Amino acid sequence: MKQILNIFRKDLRRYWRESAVSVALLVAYGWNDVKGWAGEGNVAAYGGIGGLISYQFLSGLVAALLPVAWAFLIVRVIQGEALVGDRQFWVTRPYEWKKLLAEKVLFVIVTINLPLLIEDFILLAKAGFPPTHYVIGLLWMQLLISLILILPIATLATVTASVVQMILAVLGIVLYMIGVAALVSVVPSSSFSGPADSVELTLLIATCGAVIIVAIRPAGDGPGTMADSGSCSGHRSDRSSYSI
Amino acid sequence: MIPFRVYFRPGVSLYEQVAYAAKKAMVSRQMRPGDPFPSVRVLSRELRINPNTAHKVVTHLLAAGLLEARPGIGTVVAELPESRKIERTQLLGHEIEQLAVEAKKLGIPLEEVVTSISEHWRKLGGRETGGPEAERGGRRKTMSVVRTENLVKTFWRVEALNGLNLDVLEGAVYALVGPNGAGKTTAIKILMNIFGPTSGRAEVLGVESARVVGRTFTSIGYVSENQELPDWMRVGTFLDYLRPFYPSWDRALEDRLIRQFDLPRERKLGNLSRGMRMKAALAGSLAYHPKLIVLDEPFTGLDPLVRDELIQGLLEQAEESTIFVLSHDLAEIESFASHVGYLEQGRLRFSEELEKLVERFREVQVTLDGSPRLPETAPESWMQLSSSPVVVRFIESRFEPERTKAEIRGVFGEVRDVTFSPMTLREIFLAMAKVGRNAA
Repeated sequence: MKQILNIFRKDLRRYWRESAVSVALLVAYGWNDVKGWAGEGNVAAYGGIGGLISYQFLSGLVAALLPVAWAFLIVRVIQGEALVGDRQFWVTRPYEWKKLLAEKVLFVIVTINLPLLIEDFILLAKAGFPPTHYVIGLLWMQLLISLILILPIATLATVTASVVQMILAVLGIVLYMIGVAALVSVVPSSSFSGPADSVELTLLIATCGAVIIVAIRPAGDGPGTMADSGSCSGHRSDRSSYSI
Repeated sequence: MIPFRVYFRPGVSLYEQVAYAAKKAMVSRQMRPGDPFPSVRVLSRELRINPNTAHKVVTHLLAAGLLEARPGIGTVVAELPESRKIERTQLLGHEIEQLAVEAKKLGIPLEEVVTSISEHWRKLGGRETGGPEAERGGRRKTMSVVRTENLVKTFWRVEALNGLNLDVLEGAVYALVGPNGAGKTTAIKILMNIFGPTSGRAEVLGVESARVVGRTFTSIGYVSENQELPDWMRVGTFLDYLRPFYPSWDRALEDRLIRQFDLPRERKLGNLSRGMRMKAALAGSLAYHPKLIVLDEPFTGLDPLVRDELIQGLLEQAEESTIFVLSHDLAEIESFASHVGYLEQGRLRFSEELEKLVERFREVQVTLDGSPRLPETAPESWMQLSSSPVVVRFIESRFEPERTKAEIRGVFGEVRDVTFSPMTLREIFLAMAKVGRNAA
């Protein structure tokens, strides 16, 4: 626990700006939401058409920036102890992979999940619903966001060495998806919808989790690691390799 | 060359150590009355110490009557009259008192102390010689701290290590040298489990290299010239951050290292010079008393003053750690290594005590009566055979005076003159590298 907290304090000290931006965007998102309910159907509430347009633009911008800020924060904190490369000072320090993994999870929970959960509580209360009645639903939402949004980003961050590499990887995935979509439109009988969806989602989540654990886990702790043939850099760390 | 050797030890000032080594050479008759004593300049250059320190040594020895300045000749070892012996005995009063206090504190009986002194006395009398190990207080032990067996590492089709067998004993200061691309860094990265081996075995502190993770690193200090440090951290924050990882972290030692290396706690690592960064990395790797200190080219590109400081810092740990160092800086290595290994094309060409290595290499110059003809077959231990009008030169890699002379007579018959010159580690390294290159 001491090691987890030590790394956590370090990460918080280093990424407080990124964390603050992410929380500020979350607050702005919630504030826009509340303002949206108040002025629903009432153009005058926004100070006329111009006001409505700027409100819509602003809320659209915040809604787009929020996941980007989260992604940036996740990538920065994971690549802080980069898994790719062999020169990071920390790879020859007594880091324990389980504690390192736990610290990254803790950091994401504290800087992303927890503020989002608190905001959901406040929004529910503002909307007149008792939040305590919806705790399970809210936690389920957190789990879904973690699995569908945070986990894939974290997976990409573990196998890339920098934000630039990460962006390139995302672009590659987007291009691939566009290609698949184009293919699907050419062959109308093919379909990705149906009962197979949940299997695919489970597979995606399991793959992401496995990639992170395999990447972080050291060689001497069981079979299978990101071996020398390794990731993007051409080298691997047999141990957990995330650079501060 | 200076007529005595100094193996710098921690905790004592350089000046005292050099003065002590000089006195030791005098009392053991290695230097006799009338022998010239090296000048300040020579002392400074050969021992790589500050000229002021060298000056202080000479002044001290002059003041103690152990040296005398002779006009036109320079400083020579003084004749020691009887009266001086009494004064010297009186001068030892403090040291003897200290010895008695330490012995009592450790519970060593008087007989053992006397036996130990007698032994040292005998050694100085020339019946036994003390090599670097003896100088380091008999640190030689038998446990392997680093061991590799047939270690092979290939990167695609490039063979970086080709059956490396290495054995570094506990307490040694082992220097692994070799030309660029010899596989030194690869070897260290396998030992540190940064890479896995293609085949073979590697062990560090009795742990297989693949299992060198987590807590094992609390006993290992690793510093590399290429290491990426957290540049955003201040020196103080960096050390504060590392401290909780190490149960044996010594706060007093950390403070001492900070003072010794003159490290600014408030300065960001990214704003430090290269030398200061190395010092910060070293401070962060020494403060927990590691059993093994691994250094990858720690002196490259550093100015002499910083090198001295780094070496001094290291030597202060040498008593309790094994040091494994990769370096091209052979002059520095020679000043503090006890063992040396030469790696070439992924293979270890030799691995032995530095003292023995330096003993077995000689630059030989044979002067003949007529024009020399290079022999078609020469002993295998002769390297870089060359000739000029009446002289043949070569490097003997298995020097033993009588045997080598006999071999020379066997090859050239009677010769006019033969000289054997000692070689520095750098010269030995260059000779080996050239032979390796020619063979390739």
